[in-house]
Amino acid sequence: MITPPIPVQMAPSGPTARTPLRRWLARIFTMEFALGVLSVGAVGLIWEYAQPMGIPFIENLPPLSKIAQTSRQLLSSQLYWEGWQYSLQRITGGFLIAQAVGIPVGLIMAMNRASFETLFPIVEILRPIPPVAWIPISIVFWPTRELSVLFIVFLGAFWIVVLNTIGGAANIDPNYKRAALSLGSKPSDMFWRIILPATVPSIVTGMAVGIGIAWEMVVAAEMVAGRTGLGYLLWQSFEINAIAQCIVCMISIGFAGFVSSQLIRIFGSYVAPWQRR
Amino acid sequence: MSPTDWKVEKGVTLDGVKKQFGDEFVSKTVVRDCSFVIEDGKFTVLIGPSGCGKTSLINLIAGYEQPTSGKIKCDGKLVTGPTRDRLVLFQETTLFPWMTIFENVMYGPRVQGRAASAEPEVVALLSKVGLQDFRDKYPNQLSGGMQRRAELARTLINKPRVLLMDEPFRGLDAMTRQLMQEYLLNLFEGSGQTILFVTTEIDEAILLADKLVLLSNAPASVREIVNVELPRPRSSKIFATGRFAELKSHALSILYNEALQSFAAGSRAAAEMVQALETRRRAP
Repeated sequence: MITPPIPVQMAPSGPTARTPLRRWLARIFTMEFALGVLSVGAVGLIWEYAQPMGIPFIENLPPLSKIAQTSRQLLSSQLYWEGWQYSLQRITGGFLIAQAVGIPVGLIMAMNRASFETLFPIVEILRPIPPVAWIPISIVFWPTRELSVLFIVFLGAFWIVVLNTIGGAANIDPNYKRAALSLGSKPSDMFWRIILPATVPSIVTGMAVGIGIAWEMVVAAEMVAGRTGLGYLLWQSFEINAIAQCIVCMISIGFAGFVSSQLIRIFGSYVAPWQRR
Repeated sequence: MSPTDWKVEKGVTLDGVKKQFGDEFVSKTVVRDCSFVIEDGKFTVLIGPSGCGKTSLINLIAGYEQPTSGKIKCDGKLVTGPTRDRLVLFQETTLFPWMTIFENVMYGPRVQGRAASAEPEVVALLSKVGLQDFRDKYPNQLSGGMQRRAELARTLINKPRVLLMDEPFRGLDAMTRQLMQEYLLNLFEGSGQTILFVTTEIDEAILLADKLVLLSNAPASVREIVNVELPRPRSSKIFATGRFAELKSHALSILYNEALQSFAAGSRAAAEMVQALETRRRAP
């Protein structure tokens, strides 16, 4: 049988020859972009006009314009920025302590059988308890409220980093270790040049998940045990029936969570450059 | 003093090597009564049906595992663990993904504490394997063939007594595979490097080998040793010679029976090999 020759595809000329600006615009204003704008816009419109239109449930919310107005007021108040400051301090502190303790604990558990057998039962008993459930005991246990909030944030990020570190270090391809051994590695080379870098991507994954849980925990802990912070401000706004202010706090916390995960991502591509795509 | 004591044998000797996994209740023998010599300066090729225990043999010779009974000696010394005398080129790439190509090749010299003196040599070796422009890339940015060459460089910089190659070209496409075979011949013919090469490809085996060790179905033992006295330097042109065809049909007849047995024992890998061999026999 004679196979027909493959038709030569000519690159279409004319319409594709565009200026850089037009090409840039064409890349941004795609169908996907239009649909996104449409859906967000529709939600915004429904929200704004829910009260005059009498849409059930949504009419209980303050309209979008009210929220914009409230956020202008809130953004110029010292209370709000102090909230940011406290929450950020707690997140940073709790998260960093969780990494500083969790990564070494995970590595030791992965590399030493005896320590794994000793610590793993404790981890498995304590880990399923949601960090929020620790709040009352934490208040009793720690001398100050500040420390108890910090502890809850710590717990939120701790288990996940321990588990990810163990998983990463225990699942290193044994042939990497064999190759390294044959090439003359000493135990210290094995740790610093093979096991640790091989575990870094799992640690970063643990961090990315951990920072999300840490934000959940700081909000919950501040609502219950705090005297300051965004979570506290959110709950106080609800108590005084300032719902617009509540929503501004919610959006702020969402924004903070987003920025934190982006920072972890940047950190990840810095410490594990071989994984960049 | 017996006469064998002062005469140090060169190369690697396997003497009645047996490897068994498991305990007294449940055990599986993967290598049984294996004896052969990896001669100094020669290209020895191990070939046998898939899953017959070739990788286990490599692990034993490299020193990653200890034989249940029997002895493995390298230049007359008993093998007790991994050293850089015997370096393995693994089936799958084991270039460390977190190091650049240069850092990978430098790894051996670095941990051996001779990084500074080895650097010019590393640079030279990288250009010898054609990767001088890729020294700062990470392994996952390289093609399969380039990764193999980088790994070869990482191994060769340590000047191993014996190079153990465990199906190094598996998973490469046919074209790259052929290029790598020719590349390997170019690099090692006349170099005096002692090599043990493991493969399931009969053409590849005969093309490369000075000595062909045909293995049995699992547990692996030596079925026959064939000397391949085809002239060197070789190239893929030898595929057309009559001597090549003779060697191939002889080796195939033995391997075919072994593969059939492991097929009967339910090995899927072996079933594939039987099928492949049958197709090849039917081909003119």
